[in-house]
Amino acid sequence: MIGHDDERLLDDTLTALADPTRRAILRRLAQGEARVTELAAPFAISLNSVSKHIKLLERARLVERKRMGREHLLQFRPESLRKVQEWISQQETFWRAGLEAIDQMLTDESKEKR
Amino acid sequence: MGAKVEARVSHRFKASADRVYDAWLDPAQVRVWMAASLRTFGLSGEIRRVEIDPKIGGKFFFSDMRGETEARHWGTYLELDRPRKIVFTWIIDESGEADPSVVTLTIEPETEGCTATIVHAMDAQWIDYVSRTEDGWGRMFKQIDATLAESSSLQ
Repeated sequence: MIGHDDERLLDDTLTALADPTRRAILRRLAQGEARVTELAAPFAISLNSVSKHIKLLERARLVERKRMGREHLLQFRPESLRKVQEWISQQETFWRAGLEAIDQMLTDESKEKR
Repeated sequence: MGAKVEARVSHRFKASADRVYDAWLDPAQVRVWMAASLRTFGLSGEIRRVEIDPKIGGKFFFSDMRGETEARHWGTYLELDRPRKIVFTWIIDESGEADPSVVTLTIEPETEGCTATIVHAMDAQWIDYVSRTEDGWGRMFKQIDATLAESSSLQ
C-alpha cells in the first residue's frame, strides 16, 4: 500500500519530468553534482528561472541540495523515479506475456492445419 | 495534470498481420491466449467472461477468477483499422472510468509475418491507483515486481 505522501510525490515527480528544461537539468546532474550558477549557464534563461525549476525538482525529491560551506551543491536523487519505473515494468511484463501467448496460439493453429 | 507515462512492448510474429489482429477481437481466441498469458503469472487462467463488441465506440469485457475474486477488465474501442491498429481504453475498476489508461496496438505487416507493438499510456493519478490495488493487476504484478526491481536500474 502506498500513502498520501507517496501519491503526492509521484504527482510531483511527473510534474517535474514534464518539462524539457528540468529534464536537461537532471541529465546534467546525473553526470555529477553542480552549483546553481553552473546549471544556469547552458540554458538561455535567467538564474531566477533556473532556481524555480530546481525548486520543483527538489519538491519531487529528484534533486537534493547539499551545503558545502557557503556553496550550495545540487545532487541527482533517482529514487523517486522508481514508482514510475515500476508501473512501466508491470505493464510491459503483462503485455509481453499477452503477445507471446498470441504467438504460441497462432503457431499451434498453423500446425493443426497442416 | 496531463503528464503521461508509457509502457511499450514489441513482438515479431510469423503469423500474418490479419491473424494477429483477429486474435484480439475474436472471443474464442481471446479466451485461449488470455488464459495462457495469465497462467505464466501463476494464476489459474480460469476465464469467466469474454464479451467483445468490435466496432468504434463498442465495449469489451474480460474477466477471470483469482480464487474467490473475479478480476474484471473492460474498455471501449477508440480505433479499429484491420489489420494495422487497435486503440482501446483499459479499465480495471469503476474509479478508473473518469480517466482511463489507453492501449494502442499497432501491427506492421512484413514480407513474412508482422511486428506488433503495444503502447500503454496512463497518467499519474491512475498509476497511484494501480500501485494501491490489492486485487486485479496490482496484486498480480507484485511478485514479478520484486524480481524486476532488482534487475531494473534507473538512469
